[in-house]
Amino acid sequence: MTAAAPDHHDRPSPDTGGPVYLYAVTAARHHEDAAGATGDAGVTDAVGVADAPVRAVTAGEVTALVSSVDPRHLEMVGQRPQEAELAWLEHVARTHNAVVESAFRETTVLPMRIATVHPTEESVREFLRKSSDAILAELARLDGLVEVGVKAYRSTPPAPTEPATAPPAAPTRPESPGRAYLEARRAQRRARADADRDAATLVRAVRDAAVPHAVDQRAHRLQTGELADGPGENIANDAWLVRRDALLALHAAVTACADPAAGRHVEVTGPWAPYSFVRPVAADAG
Amino acid sequence: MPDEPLPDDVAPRQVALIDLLDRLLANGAVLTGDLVLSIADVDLVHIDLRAVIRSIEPDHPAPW
Repeated sequence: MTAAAPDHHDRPSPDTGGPVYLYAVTAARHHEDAAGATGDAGVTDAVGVADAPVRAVTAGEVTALVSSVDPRHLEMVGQRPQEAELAWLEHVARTHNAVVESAFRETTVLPMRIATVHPTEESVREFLRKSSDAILAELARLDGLVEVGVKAYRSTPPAPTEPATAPPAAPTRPESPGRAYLEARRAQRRARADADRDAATLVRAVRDAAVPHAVDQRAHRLQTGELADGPGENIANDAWLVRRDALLALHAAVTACADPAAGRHVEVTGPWAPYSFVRPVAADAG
Repeated sequence: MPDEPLPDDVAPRQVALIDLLDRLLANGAVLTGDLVLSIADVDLVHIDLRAVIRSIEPDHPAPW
């Protein structure tokens, strides 16, 4: 997807003047990096999209983590074979997260949406200047909070799928295939209703367990498709915003709802930067 | 995974791509709102990767 990683000698100069990819915004760290008036020398160790070095762009009280991005990489989006697109998407997603994580380990961050690109570094600075108040307010709101993913699964229910596997009780008269069919359908429906009720109960239990430990919650869409490889059918895919010191309590509470032998599974992911809870930060009017 | 305590540092564990995409594509991050970058007549301020995925898999739902 990209040329071999450049070695340190031919790393591109920090600002190529072209488009830059934004990963996250944080409060400016004046004390730590004496980067001078522009604050742009605060380069992190993180490696960005297509192996470009990540650098900090600061304006006033806020800092953006960016890297130069080759327009050609972006132009190719949607024009390559499937596998190349998916590989590129995975590369960008993992790189994006790695940069966000590297900042999140040290400070509160506002993760940017994936593939947010500004035409120039100067336009990033302009965005920071205009949005400074909103960014700082959002950073203050999310200070000390992390996101935890909590997913519930139900193992594939053993409900009959073939109407032919008839109901065990009350054998119908052989001369009444129509009735046998209806009985089978009814049993199937009952089994499915039981399974659905069981799933709903688990989802409710997990959410009830999480609530006392959390500040906020978002439900992501249920995971299906070829990338979903959980232990059964995904029945809840929630993100919880929690205080760092409540992490373990939340983890213990939700996993206590699991009963794998009964087909009830709970998976916890994270802690994540608060991706699911960042509110859009529009540029201020003035 | 479910029974282990949460690591303080997520980095050592490879996160599942599907969980990442839930966060990166669905919502979450900051939108800049007022920028339009056009390269080769394609607006690139925010590339809709979900649309990309849809276009790659016209006959299937998105793979996550």
